[in-house]
Amino acid sequence: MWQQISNNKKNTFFLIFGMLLVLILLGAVIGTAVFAHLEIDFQQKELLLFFIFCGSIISVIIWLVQLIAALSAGKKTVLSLGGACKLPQGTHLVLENVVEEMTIAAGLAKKPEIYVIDSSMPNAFATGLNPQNSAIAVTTGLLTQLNRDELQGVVAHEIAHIYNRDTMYMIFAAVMITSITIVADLGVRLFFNTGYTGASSSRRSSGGNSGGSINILVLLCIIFMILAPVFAQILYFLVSQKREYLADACSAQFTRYPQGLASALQKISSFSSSNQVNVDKIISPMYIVNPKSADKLNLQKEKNSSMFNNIWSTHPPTSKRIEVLLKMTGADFKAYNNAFMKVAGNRKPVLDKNDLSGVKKIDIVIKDNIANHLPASSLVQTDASTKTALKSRKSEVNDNLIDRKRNAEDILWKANNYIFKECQCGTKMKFPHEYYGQTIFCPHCGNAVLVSENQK
Amino acid sequence: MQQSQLMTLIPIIIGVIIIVWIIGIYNSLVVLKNQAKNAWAQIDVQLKRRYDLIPNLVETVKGYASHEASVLENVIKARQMAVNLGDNVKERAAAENVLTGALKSLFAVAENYPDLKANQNFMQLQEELTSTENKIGFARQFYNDSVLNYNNKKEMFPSNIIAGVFNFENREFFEADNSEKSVPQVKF
Repeated sequence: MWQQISNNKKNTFFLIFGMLLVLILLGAVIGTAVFAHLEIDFQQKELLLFFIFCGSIISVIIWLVQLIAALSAGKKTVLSLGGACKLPQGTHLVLENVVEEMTIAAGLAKKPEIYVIDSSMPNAFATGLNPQNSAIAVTTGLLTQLNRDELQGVVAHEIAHIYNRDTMYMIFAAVMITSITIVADLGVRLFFNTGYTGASSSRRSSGGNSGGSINILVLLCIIFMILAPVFAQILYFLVSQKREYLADACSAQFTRYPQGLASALQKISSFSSSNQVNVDKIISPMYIVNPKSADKLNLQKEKNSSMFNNIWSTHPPTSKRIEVLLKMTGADFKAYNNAFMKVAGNRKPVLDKNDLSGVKKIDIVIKDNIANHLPASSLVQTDASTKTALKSRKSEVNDNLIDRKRNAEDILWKANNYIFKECQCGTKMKFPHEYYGQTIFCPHCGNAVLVSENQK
Repeated sequence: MQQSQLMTLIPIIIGVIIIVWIIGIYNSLVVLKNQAKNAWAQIDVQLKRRYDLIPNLVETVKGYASHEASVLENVIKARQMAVNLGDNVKERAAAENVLTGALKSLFAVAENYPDLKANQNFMQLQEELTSTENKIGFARQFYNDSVLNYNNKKEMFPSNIIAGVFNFENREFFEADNSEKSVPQVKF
């Protein structure tokens, strides 16, 4: 396990280093382009170097500013972008317990902070620069739709992102991509704002020969400026897909129950395609299932999708992730790898040799609460007797859904300092803590309920 | 003159290298030992939490299912036995497995009492106990991994010599009950 973390750290370093090179090169190219554009004599090599140097320095400064901003704000920015509020203690026992369980399973020193997002779309993400200072955010929709086992699978996936230092990588990569985009944007603007007037004046003043070569140079520079952000994004996507698989494998290992995550992914993806909710573009790749991609759970369609489409997504197709999880015969990495190769055909394994060294065999835990996995059973073969049993329990599951929805919504009320008061008739009333009256009337039975002072 | 100086230096250098090497092995043994110890402490925390939860649970169940006295008594007895044991891992594991079994049958019995199942207090206790049970399981997994690492290091050459000299003792695994591993019957 340790090897895989150091591996990830190394990868992060190389990726950031590679992107930094692209950034510096971009600055240099802009410097050259400005130099060429200004039609200064090419003999003045010192001046050319100066321009290149200035361009690189400016881009590095932009990067540093971004980096410092990201490091000082840390998880706060991401959480506020997601519209998350901290889970008040004791408001959702199951969620708190599940996070603690997975913290123990992963052997993390400190339990991540838990945040809740008010959104009916089930989803979750993790953030933080290191495991000591990390956070997990889940939507109220997630708490509503998923049962305990599924929630455990999702939380384990997020804990795995923290454990593997993926969250750190995400923050660095986001800083890199924004910086490259800003610099490239700056360069392109510089040209299109001043470019035309400059070009017309140059044609008048200089000879045709040198002017032509300079124009080609400028053109090449502009092409590079446009391509650099695209290149950075592709680099980022390529690595982040593998990280999703790795987090899935870790989740299966931590929970020893891959079916939980599989049925959770199914619920999440079938929901996100039907119900799009406002999600910030920057944090969307951080979610367990990317809410921006119209990732429909259509197996046939996805199998036909081309390689090109896959490059452009931060997450592997959800249906494939589910299939791999369901095909696992054990809960360890080797089982995940074997299942992956079975699903993907002859493609090379998803986990490196480094990930697999020293792996012991872990068995999947068998659970008998099949009724909890109603929607997931569409992928699993079910015989007739199981089906009738499932039908009889369907109403029970619906009751659970309503209860869970209520619990999830109560978190938000409590986070906003609302006071809960139960009437004799069983009605639960919620009112803001600023409420100054002595009593409150139950809307159901009309009884007056005393608002005690010490609860305020 | 120079040669004789070199001749005296070489044994000193070799001696220093050996001492540094021994210190390195000793320290890594200590690190692994402490890791296992910490993992055991983590299990201990969860086991204690379970002892604290059980009296509450028994009280709640009593109110609804008073004629299931034998099941309740089993739980209380198993808890008492586990509480009184010391830090011997093997004995402790056996006692805890008995307690786990007793709790399982208690929850199985509770299935027959719809009023009890709907009780807010019972639901909360059930969630707490399920979670504690899970935490014990995960902590046990982590503990056993740490013990495996430590024992491996202790038994392998050359660290076994140093472990022998400084009296490092083997740690015992916290084994899960075999019945827990077997496939449970699915009933509808």
